[in-house]
Amino acid sequence: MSVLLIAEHNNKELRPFTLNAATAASQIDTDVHAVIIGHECGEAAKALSELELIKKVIQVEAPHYENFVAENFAPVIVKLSENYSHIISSANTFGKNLMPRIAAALDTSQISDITKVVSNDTFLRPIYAGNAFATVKSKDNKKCVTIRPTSFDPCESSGGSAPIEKAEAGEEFVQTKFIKREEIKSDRPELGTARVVVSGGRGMQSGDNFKLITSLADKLNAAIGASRAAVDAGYISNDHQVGQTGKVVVPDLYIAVGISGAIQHLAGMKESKVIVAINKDGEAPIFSVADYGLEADLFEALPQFLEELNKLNTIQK
Amino acid sequence: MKSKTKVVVVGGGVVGVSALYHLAKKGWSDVVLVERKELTSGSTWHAAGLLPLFNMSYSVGQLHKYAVDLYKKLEDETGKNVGFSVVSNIRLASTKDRMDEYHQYAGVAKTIGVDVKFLTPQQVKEIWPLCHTDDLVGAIQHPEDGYIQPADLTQALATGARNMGAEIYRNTTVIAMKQNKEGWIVETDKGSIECEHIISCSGNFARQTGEMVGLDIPVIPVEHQYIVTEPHPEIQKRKKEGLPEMGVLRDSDSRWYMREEAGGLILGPYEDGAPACYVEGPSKSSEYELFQEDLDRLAPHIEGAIHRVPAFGEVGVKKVYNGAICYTPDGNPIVGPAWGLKNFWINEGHSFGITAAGGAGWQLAEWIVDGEPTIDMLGVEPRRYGNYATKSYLKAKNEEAYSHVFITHYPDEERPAARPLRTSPCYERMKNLGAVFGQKFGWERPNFFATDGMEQKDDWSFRRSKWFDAIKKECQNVKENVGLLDMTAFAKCRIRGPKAEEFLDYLVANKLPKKIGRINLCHALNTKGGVHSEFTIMKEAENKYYLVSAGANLRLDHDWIQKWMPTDGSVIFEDLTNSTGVLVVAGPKARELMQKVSVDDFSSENFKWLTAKNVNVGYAPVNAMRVNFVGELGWELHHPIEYQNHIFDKLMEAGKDLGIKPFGIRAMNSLRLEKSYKLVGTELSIEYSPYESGLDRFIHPNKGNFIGLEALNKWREKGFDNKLVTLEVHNTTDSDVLGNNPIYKDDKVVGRATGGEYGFRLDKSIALAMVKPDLANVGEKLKVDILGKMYEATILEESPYDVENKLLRA
Amino acid sequence: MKILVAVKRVIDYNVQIRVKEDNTGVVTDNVKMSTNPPDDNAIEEAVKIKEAGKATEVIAVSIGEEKAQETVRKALAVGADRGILVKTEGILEPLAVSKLLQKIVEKEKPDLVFMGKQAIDDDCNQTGQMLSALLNWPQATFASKIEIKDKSLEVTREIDEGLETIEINVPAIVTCDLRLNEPRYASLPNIMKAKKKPIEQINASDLGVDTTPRIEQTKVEEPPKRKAGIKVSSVAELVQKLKNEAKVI
Repeated sequence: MSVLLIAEHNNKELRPFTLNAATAASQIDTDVHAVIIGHECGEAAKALSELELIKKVIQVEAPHYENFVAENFAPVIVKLSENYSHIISSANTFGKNLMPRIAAALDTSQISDITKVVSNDTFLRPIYAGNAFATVKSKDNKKCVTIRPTSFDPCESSGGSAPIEKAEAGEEFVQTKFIKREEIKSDRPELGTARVVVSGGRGMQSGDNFKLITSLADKLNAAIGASRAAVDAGYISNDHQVGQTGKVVVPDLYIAVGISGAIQHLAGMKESKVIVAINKDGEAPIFSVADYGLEADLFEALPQFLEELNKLNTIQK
Repeated sequence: MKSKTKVVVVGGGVVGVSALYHLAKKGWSDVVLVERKELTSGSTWHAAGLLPLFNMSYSVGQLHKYAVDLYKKLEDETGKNVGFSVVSNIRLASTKDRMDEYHQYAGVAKTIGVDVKFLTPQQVKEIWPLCHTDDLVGAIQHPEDGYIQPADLTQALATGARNMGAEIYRNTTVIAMKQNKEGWIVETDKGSIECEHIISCSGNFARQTGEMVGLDIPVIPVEHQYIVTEPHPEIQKRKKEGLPEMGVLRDSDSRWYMREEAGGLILGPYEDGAPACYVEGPSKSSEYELFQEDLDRLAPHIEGAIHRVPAFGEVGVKKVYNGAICYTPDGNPIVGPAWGLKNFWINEGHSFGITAAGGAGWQLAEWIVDGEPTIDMLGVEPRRYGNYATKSYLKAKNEEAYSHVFITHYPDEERPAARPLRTSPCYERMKNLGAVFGQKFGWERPNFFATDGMEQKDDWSFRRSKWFDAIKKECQNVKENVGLLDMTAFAKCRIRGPKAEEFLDYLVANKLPKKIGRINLCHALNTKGGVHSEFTIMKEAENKYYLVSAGANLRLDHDWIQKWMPTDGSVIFEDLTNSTGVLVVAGPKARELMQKVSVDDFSSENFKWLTAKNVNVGYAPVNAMRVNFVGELGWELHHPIEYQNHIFDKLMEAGKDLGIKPFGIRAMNSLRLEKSYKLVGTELSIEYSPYESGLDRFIHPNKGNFIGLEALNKWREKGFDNKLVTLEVHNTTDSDVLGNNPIYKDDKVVGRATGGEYGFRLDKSIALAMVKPDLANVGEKLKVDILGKMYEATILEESPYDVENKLLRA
Repeated sequence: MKILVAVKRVIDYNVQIRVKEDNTGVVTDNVKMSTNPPDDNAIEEAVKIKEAGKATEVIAVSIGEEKAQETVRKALAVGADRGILVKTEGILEPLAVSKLLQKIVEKEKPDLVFMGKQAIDDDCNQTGQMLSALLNWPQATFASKIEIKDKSLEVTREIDEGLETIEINVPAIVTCDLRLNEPRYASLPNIMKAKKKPIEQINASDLGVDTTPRIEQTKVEEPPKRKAGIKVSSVAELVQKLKNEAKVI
C-alpha cells in the first residue's frame, strides 16, 4: 500500500504545499515515497528527503523538466506508479494540471481536492463550491488523489533522512513548450476575482465620498464594489455593481460600507469567506450575513479603519 | 420573542410587512410578524417592481391608488429610500376593442381620482422613441405610476413598523395555529405566541397556512418569467444626455410589459401555457427560489416585443427570471376575513403584490382595528369563492387568470377553464333550447338564448353585440307572454330556533314578516351603517325563516349570518343552497301557466304579492314565492332539486300555447334595471347608506336595535353625499352604460353609474347611478360618459316601467 | 480550423444548494440549471476565433440527459454552428466523459477542443486534462489569454504564482478560465434562430465506452453552518478580529 507523493518545487526549494500533501499522504499509509522531477533539483530533493514523513525520495532529472510541463511529468509518474497504490499531490494549479493526465493513463477515476482522509479508499471532498461535502469511496486499484492544502497541516520539515534514488528520465513532449512565467503585480485587483473587496452603498451619499472607499481599498489592495443603490444614484459606474444583476463575488474578505443589504445585493456577495458590515442602522439586513458588524457612522468609522490598518502596517500579497 | 400580542402577521413579504406597518399606524403597536426565512425571500424579492394603477375593478383600483401615494411618502417617513421611479406608465392599443377597454377603465379611474391621459401614437413616440408606433390605435398614460425596488420598499415598511413599536421575528417558522377562548395561539419553532388576530400573508404557502386552520384557500401560484437584457447603446446614450427614463410600457395586445433596467430592458410577458407551480406548496427549505426558464412558450410575445421595440432584439439576454406569482381564479387578491373563523384574516393571492400590498394593509388594519373596512372590498373578498374552488379547479383557473392579465377584459367575458362545473338539473334542457352559458360561483347559468338560427356562441364586447337582439326577444317575451328563468344558484338557508326571530330582527334593518307565509325584502347593514347583504326573508313558521340572497354572495352572506349568530345553540343555521332548485316564471301569462300545472290556487285574491305557499307543480312539492326580480306577474318556484326536470318539463309543456320561452341573466339584468332594482356590489355597498341607495322603505330605525343602527343615525345627522337615481340615456346607438361611468353636470363629475343596459320594455337606454343629492331630481339633465363619448341623460322616476307596480301585484 | 467546445449543464450558480434530507445527494429536482460558467468562456473564445477568420466551424457538444440539449442550444445561440448531444443516464465521472469526448474527437477530427477549466457542480477539474492524455495531445489549462499562431497556440495560464505562458501545437486541448473573455449574451433573434441549427443526438451506449462509475458517493452533507456573526463595538476591535481571528488581513 505505498503512497507516491508528487513533490512541487522550483528546483531550488520545495513549494510549501508539498508539506501539506505529505501529511495527507501519510494519513493514507505511512509508507510514503516522494518523487521529485526537475532540472538540477538536488537541493529541493534534499529538502524533500528531510521531511519526517517521507521514506524514500525518487529524483528524476532532465533539462526538459525544468519548467514542470505536465505532459513531460505524467509519463514518468505513470511508469513509477507500478509499485504504488496511491498517487498524491496537492490540488493547487500544479497538481490540478498534472494529476488527471496520470489518472487517465492509468485508467483510474481521480478524486480531486479532498479535505479529509477517512480511510485508504474513502475521502471527504467539497462539491458545489463547498456548499456540500461528499464522502466518496474509490473502487479503482490505483487511486489518484489531489488534496486541499489548507485542510491538512504542513508536516515537519526536518528530522527525516530518506534515501534519494535516481530514476530514468523520460522523453520530451515536444508539442508543448514553456515560454515564460510572471509573478502577479497588483494594480487594483479585478472585482470578480479579488481577494478583498470594499463596497460602498447609498450611505456614502455622494460620488465624491467614494474616495473613502478607494483609500481603504488601496490600503487592503482590494477591489472596489458598490450596491445597486449607489450605482443608480450615480456615485460610481455600474461595472462596480455587486449583486444579482451585477457581479457575484467570493472574496476572502468583503467589507460592506453604508449598504443596507437588500436581497439582490446579498446574492452577489454572501458566499464571501468573511463579511464585515459598517452601517449606522443596526437593523439593516446586511448584519444578518455579516461575521463582524459595526454599527457606526461610516464617515467616522472609515478614517478610523485606515488609521488602525496603518498601525498594523499591513500590506497584502 | 413575545409570548402574547394583539396580532400575529404570518409571512414577511411586502404584503405581510405592509399589514404590520398599517396596524402599527392605526395605533396597535403590540403587533408582531413571523417570517420563516428572510423578509422578501418568497416572491417579493424577484418581482419586477411595477406599480400599475390600471385595474378594471373599483376596489382594487382604490387599493392601488392608495399604495402609490403611500410609497411616495415612505422615504420621508422612514428615512429609507424605496427606489420609486415615477416614470409613468403607457398602455398601448392596437385594436378598437382595446381602446374601448381603456375608455371604460378611464371612467373607473375618473370616479376614484386616478389621473389618466389618452395619447396619440405620435405622443407615445415622443415619450418612447424606441417604440414602433405606426400600427397603434392609441394609448393611455398614467403619469403617476412607475416602478419600485421591492426589497427596499419592504425594508422601508419594516423600518416604519419597527419605529412604531411592531416587532419582526425572522427565521421563525409557524408550525400550528389553534383557537382558544380569547383568540389564537400561534406555535412556532421558536416558541408560542398568544394573540387575538392572525393575518395570513404567506404568499406561495397560502394553502399550507390555510390547512393549519382548516381553510381551503383559493390560491395556487403560477410561473412568470421576465427577461433582462444587457445595456443598449441607445438607452445608455439617453442617460448620458440627461434624457428622462422612458417609463413602463405595456403592449396589452401583445401581452407584455417592458421597462428600462440598468441601461437595458426588461420584458415580462403574460403568455398562454404558463404552468401552476408549488401546487403542494414550496419545499420546507425553499427560499429565493427560481425555476428553469422556458423561452419557447414566450416566443410569440418576444416577437411582438421585438416588433414593438426593435432595440429589444438588438441586445443579448443577460438573465431570465422565472419565479412564482400567487394567483386566484379571477386574478384579484383575497383580502379580508376568513369564513367560519373569528379573527383570522386572509391577505393572499397577490399577483400585483408590490402595488396591492399598500392598499391591502391599509384596509385590513381599518377592518381589524375599527371593525369595518372603509372601501367596498367585494372585488378582493376572500368569500367570493366557495368550496368548489378545489385544488384542481385552482390549477386550471389560476393558469387561465394568469394568461388573461392582458387579454381584453370584456364586461361580459365568461372564461372557459374548468367549465361546465356545477350544473342544475335543467342544464341540458336549457342547452337544447339554445342557452349560451356563463358561470357564477361555479354554477352554469344561461346568459342568453341563441334562437332563430343565431350561433350558440357568446359575443363579447364593450358595446352592443350579437346577444343584444337575443335578449331583446327574451325581454319582449317576458313582457308579452311568460318567461322561464333558472335561478338555482341563489344562496338559500333556513334560520330557526328559539331565538331565531330575535336574532334576525337584530341582523336586518327592516321589520321581519309577521305572518307565516309572508315575505319581506331585508338588508343586513354593517356596523358602520353601510349595506352588507340583501335577503328575501320568508316566515315559514314561528321562529323559522327561509332566507334567499344572491348566489355570488353565498359564502359572504352565510358567513356574515353565522358570525353574528349567538353561539349558545338558540339559533340554528341550515344551508339549503345545493338541495333547493329555483325556477322563475314571469310575465302576464304566468298565472295562467301556474293554474295549468298546479292543482293549487294561484288567484290574485288567494296568492298575494310577497307571500309564499307550499304548492304542487305537477307532482312535485314546491315552495312558490310570489316575488321576482323582473317586475312582472310571477313566482319563484323553490323546490327540492331532484324534482327540477319534472317541474321544468311540466312548465314548458303547459306553456307551449302560452308562448313560454326561457330567458337568461342578461335579459334579467335589463328587466331589473327598468324597475330600478338594486344589487349588492353595485347599487348597494358598504360605502353607501341604505338611504343613499333608495332603500328608505326597507329601513325601520325605530323598530328596535339592529346592527349598524347607531352608525346609520349618526350618518343621517352628518348628511349623505349620494343618492341613487334612474337615468334615461339619450341617443345611444351602439352602446349602453356598463357601470362605473362618470356622470357630469356642467363639466364637473357629479356621480358614477352603477349599472346599465337597454330597457326593451321601455324602449330606452337605462342606467342606475349615484349622484350628488342636490341633483337627484326627476327631470334633471345630466351627462354620462360611455366609452369616451358624452351622452345626454335625464333622471326618471324610480321604477320607470310600471311605476305603480300594477303588473307584479296583479 | 475546426473547434469542438464541450459544454456542461449544471445547477445555476445563483441557486442556493441544498443537500437532500437523506444525504444521498444534492437537490436537483425543479432546480434552475444553466451552462457551466467557464464553458461560456470556452464557447465565447471559439466564436471569437471564428469571427476573426481563424476558424471555420465551431461545434458544441454536451454529454448528459435529454435536457442538456438546452445547453447546446444556448451555445448555438451565441455562435456555434452545430451541436452534438451524447445522451447518457446516471452519474458520469470525468474519466468516462473524457472517453466519450475522445470518441467524438475521433469522429469530428477537430483541431482544437475547448472547455471550461472546471465544472461548478463536481469541481473536479479533470476532464480536459484526461482527454488530452487519452489523445496524447498537448494541453493548456486555466487559460486566460489565447493567441492563435500558424500551427500552434500561445496560451497564458493562470497559476498560483501568477501567469505562465506556453506554446502548444495544434491539435490541442485548452481549458478556459473565467478571465479569458467576457461571454456575450445571446440576443433573442439569435436564440430563436438557434432552434433551427442541427443538434445530432448520439446514445452513449453506441460509442462503445464503459461509463460505469468507479467512485461510490456514500454520503453528502451540508458544510458546517456559517457561524452567527457578532457586533463589534469599535473599529479597533474590528481590525483586531480581522487580523487575529479571521486572519484575512
